[in-house]
Amino acid sequence: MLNDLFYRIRTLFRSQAVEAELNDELRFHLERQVEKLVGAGVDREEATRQARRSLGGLEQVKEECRRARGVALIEALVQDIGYALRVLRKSPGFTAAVTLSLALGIGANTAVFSLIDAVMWRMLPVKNPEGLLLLVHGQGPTLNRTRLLRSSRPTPRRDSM
Amino acid sequence: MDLPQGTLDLLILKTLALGPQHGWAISERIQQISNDALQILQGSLYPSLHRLERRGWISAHWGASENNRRAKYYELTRSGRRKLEGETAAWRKLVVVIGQILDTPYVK
Repeated sequence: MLNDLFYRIRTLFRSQAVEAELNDELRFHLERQVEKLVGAGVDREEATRQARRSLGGLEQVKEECRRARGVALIEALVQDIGYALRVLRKSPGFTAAVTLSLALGIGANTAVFSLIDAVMWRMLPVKNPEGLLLLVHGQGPTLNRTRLLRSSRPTPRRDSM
Repeated sequence: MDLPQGTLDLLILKTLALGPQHGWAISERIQQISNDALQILQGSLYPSLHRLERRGWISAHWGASENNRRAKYYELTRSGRRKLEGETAAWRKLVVVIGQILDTPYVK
């Protein structure tokens, strides 16, 4: 499986060389096939025709080989990204506007999230956060003594204080 | 004759067990050994070769052919040899099992 992955990565980075190799390989095959037929007495033109036919459609075979290499999806993705970048480069105003909007949006979102994360969601930098007590000194009939408000975590035993 | 899927891979591996060869020679050899019964559409040979190379069962290198031209040679790797043995055993077992089913007489 690792071999598979390395192969695909190598293919991605050497795509031009790989294409050239595929061409050479198939061309060699056709040459040998034509030679064989010519050696058997077939005239060269007919031999070429027959050789191509026995190989199947050349473009088809190449396409099948590309698929067999297993990088078709990624190669298509890379091509599309390249195309998109070229188009964006042609209209710089639009590109700037879009980039700015995205940057502001992502930045604002990140800032708000970080704030909420630090204030609300993060565990307090204390060793035993659920043991924290909030002391409230209040007035009124129910609060005629200092009450201890525990943190919202339920505790296994009841305290009488 | 229509080959079941994956059979071509097995034949390629077996052919290469005899030694490294390039694609055209593999195609010729399969045709020869099968007494021309297997006229594999040569075009399906190359996608198989590339797939087998990707899976690591064969490896490829470029070299000079018999008539001094550049050709892509394939050879069996160690895991390819193991795969060949496994698939051959599985194939033989399949043949036996299917044969048994086909030889079972009809129940009256």
